[in-house]
Amino acid sequence: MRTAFVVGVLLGLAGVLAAARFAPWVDPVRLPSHTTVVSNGGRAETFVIRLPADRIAAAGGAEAGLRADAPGTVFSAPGSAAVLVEQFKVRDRDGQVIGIAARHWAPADGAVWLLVVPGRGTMLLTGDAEPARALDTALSAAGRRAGTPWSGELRVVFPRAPSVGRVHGGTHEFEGLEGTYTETWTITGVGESGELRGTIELGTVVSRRT
Amino acid sequence: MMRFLTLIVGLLVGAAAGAALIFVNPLIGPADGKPDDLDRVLTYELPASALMLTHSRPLSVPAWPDGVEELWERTVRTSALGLVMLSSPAGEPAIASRVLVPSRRTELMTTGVVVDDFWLLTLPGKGSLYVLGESNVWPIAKDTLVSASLLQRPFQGPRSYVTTAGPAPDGRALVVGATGDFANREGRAVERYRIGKFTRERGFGDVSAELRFALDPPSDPDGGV
Repeated sequence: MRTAFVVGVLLGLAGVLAAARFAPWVDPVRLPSHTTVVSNGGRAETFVIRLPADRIAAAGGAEAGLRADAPGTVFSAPGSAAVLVEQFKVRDRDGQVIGIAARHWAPADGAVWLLVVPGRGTMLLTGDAEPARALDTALSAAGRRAGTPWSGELRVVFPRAPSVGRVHGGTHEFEGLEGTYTETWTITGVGESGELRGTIELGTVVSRRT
Repeated sequence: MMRFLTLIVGLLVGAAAGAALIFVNPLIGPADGKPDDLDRVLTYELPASALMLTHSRPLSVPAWPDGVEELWERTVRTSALGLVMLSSPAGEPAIASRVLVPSRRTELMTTGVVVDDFWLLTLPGKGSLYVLGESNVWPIAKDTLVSASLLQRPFQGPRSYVTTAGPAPDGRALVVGATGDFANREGRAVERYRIGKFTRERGFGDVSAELRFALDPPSDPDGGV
């Protein structure tokens, strides 16, 4: 009986310690990545954001226009310098949510993306900033009057040519990569309260840094 | 039959002893990152400075504000996303997007509970930078969620914790400059928390944090010649 007790204690102790050391406590869900090979040996991948469903929060001032003005989780930006912060869920080209993204914009400094895909890593992207209220200006040119709803199709690409957005690697699967990206905003409508409807496509082309 | 029951009792006693060993495990100590020689400081307080926090799990830190979109999809539901306002000692504001993702490095014998901790930080008028870190939250979790919530022992606060545990070899987070004054620069960062109160009923209280970082000098565009 004593032997059985001692054996039980040792087995219980060893089991818990082994689980603490070797059990896969973190095993993130990882969906297959949709990449295609491009002619120079790099790989292309497009990340999609659907508006307004994937927009989580924003912070900005008047210079940010509609993008900081839509209903929902919106805050004022700090300080007097113009800045716009937007946070989104990110999908793959099949429409599955695969990650989270944050975009920070300041007219003098540029636009910066932090793209986090749990199970794959983090990608860092920077590009020249579009002018303040660029989307509002494009919508006005497409016939929308300020303060009113609108529907149609408007496509705007950032950074604006000839400038090119840059991929600066990241972590895990994206570490050591470099390349370019484009940010295509396809706006199909503006709601009564100013919310944007459409998609943002982040098209990346990357290769291993030599 | 008696022998089998004795074995089961022994298993339970052994498992309890194992859990106690993990709780007092000296192999998981304070995080390695040393903050004191990092000359730039940004501070914030929780919950006052956190404009938004979202995740999908019930924690002692609830999601806010009410109605914020939660991270419920299976690929992101163990992650957390925050929008935080920070300030320098001189009162200069900064705003940060912060993403926390559980790390595969998590194990409870030698490493701790590790999260990948990613910041995109903008200092208006100066530029933006990334902080890519790993944070070991086990010391905080042990003193609060385990001791106070589970074992109902009062929190012995206020206490300070350095959570940064890499990925740089010196245990600090990596800083990657993105735009403005920080473009093309790299550096190191460490985060330190001060937790004033924690109770099982109310959760965390009087929490302040500082993010300390330093950047390498900008490289000479003329190559120094």
